[in-house]
Amino acid sequence: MLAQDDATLQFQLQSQAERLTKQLWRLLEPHFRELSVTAKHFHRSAGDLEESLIEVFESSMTKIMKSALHHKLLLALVEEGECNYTWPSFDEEYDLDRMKPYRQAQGWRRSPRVSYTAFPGIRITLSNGYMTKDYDSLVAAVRLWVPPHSSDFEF
Amino acid sequence: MFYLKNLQVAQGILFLVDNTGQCPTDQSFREFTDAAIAQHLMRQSYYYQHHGKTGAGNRRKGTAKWVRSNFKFLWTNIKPESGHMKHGDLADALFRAKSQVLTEDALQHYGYDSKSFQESELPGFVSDDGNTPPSREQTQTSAISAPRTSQVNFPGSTLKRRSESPDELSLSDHAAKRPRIEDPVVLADAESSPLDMPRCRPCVQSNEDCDRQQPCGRCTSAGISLADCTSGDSAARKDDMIMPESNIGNYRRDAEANISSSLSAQAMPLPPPPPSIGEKRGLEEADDPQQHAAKRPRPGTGDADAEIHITTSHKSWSKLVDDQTEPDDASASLGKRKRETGDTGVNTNLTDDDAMRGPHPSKASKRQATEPSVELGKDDDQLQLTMPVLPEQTDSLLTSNVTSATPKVTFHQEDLDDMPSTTHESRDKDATQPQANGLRVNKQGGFSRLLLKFPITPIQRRMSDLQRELEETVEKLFVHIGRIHEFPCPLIEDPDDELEALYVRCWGVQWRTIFHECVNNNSFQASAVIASLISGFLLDNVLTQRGPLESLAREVRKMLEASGTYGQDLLARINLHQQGKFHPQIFSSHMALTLSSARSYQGSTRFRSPGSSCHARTR
Repeated sequence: MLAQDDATLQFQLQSQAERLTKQLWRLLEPHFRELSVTAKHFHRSAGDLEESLIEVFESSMTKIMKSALHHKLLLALVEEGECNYTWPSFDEEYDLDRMKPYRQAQGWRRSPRVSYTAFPGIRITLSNGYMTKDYDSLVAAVRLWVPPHSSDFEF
Repeated sequence: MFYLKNLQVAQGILFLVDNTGQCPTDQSFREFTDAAIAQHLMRQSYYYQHHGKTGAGNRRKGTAKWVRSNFKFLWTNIKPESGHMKHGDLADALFRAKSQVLTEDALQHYGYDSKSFQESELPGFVSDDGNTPPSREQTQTSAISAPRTSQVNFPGSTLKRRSESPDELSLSDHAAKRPRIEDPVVLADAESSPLDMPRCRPCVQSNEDCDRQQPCGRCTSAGISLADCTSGDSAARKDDMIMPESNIGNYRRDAEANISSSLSAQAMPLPPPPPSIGEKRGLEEADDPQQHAAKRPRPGTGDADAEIHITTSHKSWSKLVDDQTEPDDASASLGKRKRETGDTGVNTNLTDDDAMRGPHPSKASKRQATEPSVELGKDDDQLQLTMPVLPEQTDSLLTSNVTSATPKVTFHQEDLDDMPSTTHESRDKDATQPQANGLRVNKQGGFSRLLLKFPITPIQRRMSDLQRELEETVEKLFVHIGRIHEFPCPLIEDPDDELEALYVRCWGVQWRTIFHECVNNNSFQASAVIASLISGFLLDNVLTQRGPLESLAREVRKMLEASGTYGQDLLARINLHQQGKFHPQIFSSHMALTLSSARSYQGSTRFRSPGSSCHARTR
């Protein structure tokens, strides 16, 4: 019975991962199509790119989706503690040392700002009834940019 | 390899005995570190006598420099049976190193026949530069600059001695001729040596290197003849040889102590080495128990604990730990606390860097030293977060409009196996430990110990794995597209609602303006934009999406709870305060294995249903 349950669980995870992968492909397909057109100018064999691209995308993203679903399932099983995800917003001053946004605006100096976030961070809040502890933005990856007007700052 | 135990000092000569039988070169000698030499000499208190006490680092460096400038290093292949060189071995070594340090006068001084010395072809001597021994003529010149050796006897020598000679000098006479290390000038001719000239006793006592070569005026006026003055010289030396044991550390007197020890046919034991700084501290602390007790860390106040500021100031740590052993109260207070804080109750005074990086390894090692009974010490280094983006890199990143900064999380290898150690077999053994709903609470731990039980590390690891897989996937995709990573990403002018929501997730409601600006500035690269879009999709549709996964989690939990005591034990192992939690590592990595083992255990004879389990414990 347990083996059957495990198979059922894996099947559900796989089916949801495939569904999410197709949904993501549908969203990103215009981008990849434009990119493929751009690539045709540089590669003559660009006609087969799209098919192979779909295969690679589905195989890779299904795996990622399944891992993410698994991760989500585990977090749902862990009742103690609270897990929140963080997403540094665009043009937000970001402290690379602390991997957190600045608590206060650093207008007096040129601070790097978030151009885009490559992966969300996670904030885990633990508590034993007396105190809490945060684990913040552990894997948040940002690409930073400096807005054009910030070069006028004197520091 | 030089052995420090075999390093002996005799009258300005450092003997390095190589047990491998190989001649040390200058390079290999340099590898014989300064610190080792200095330590050995400091142990014999040579440097203290001549330079006084200074700082430890300067003392070592200064000692080594002083040694190399004042000592001559010789290598011998003597392999003493006892493992340590004795004075007789040193004498043989001196003889083997004949032309380097010994003059004819010195040979006579030591009782060797110069003829046999010249004819002897003893193997094993190689000069310190690795060449053949120099000739005698070279010896005559080199001996001037080399410190003169003396005051060693030759009990183990196989060479012919000149002991039959009636002119043999006594050891006390040799001692009278011994020069000081500060005055390395040694005359090769014994006849002209001022040390062989008679000196009066006051001269000997006051000025050891009296060069008047005749009795002083006081002796002459006193009517002391030349012979009497000589005898007085010997008597004075004999008196000098009787020295308090506390002065053995003196270089000069140490050599004389060797003589006295050889006279008594007993090896002079080396003075005990001075205690190291740590030992001294330990001794000082042992002498002052109150101070030692004050410096001793309080139980329950480890370094990791010190990072946590207790919000309940009216409770001490011990009270807090005691309260943690009361599971019902803790759980109730937890629920109350969470309700009061609106389920997001973040009330922390922690520094986030400390929280992210976890306990420092040095602190962990210090804690292990102070808390040897810590059960969860392995998990102390739970997380080590390395941030490759440094401030100086930030400055370089700022030089361009668009820069990248990708933090990486690395873990210790043992963190990958940070599963709770309360196995089924060791449960009975650990039953004596205070428990809180199956969670062992170390009395010295406190809250930090509780945190170790929470599966933070697997969660972090899974997140970092997801990020890595995503980066690899994007890289693979662009390889298939045609390696156009740095091309500007095409903008979809009229996206559907779902794609627009994704744009809003990534760049806010002004995504269109931002996108146009950045694309025009060639700031948005295609690969980066695609990665960000996929991440946003994962965040909105997988990680933060609630719905069917919750029902799936309930099914999994029910499945484990139905597996009897084994499944309940698994759940208890990952419990924090109450039943119903699951360890992610068990589930993620070994889900099938765990379930199959639970199934096999359920079919075994050890299996008890929850009701029968209680009965078995009662029985």
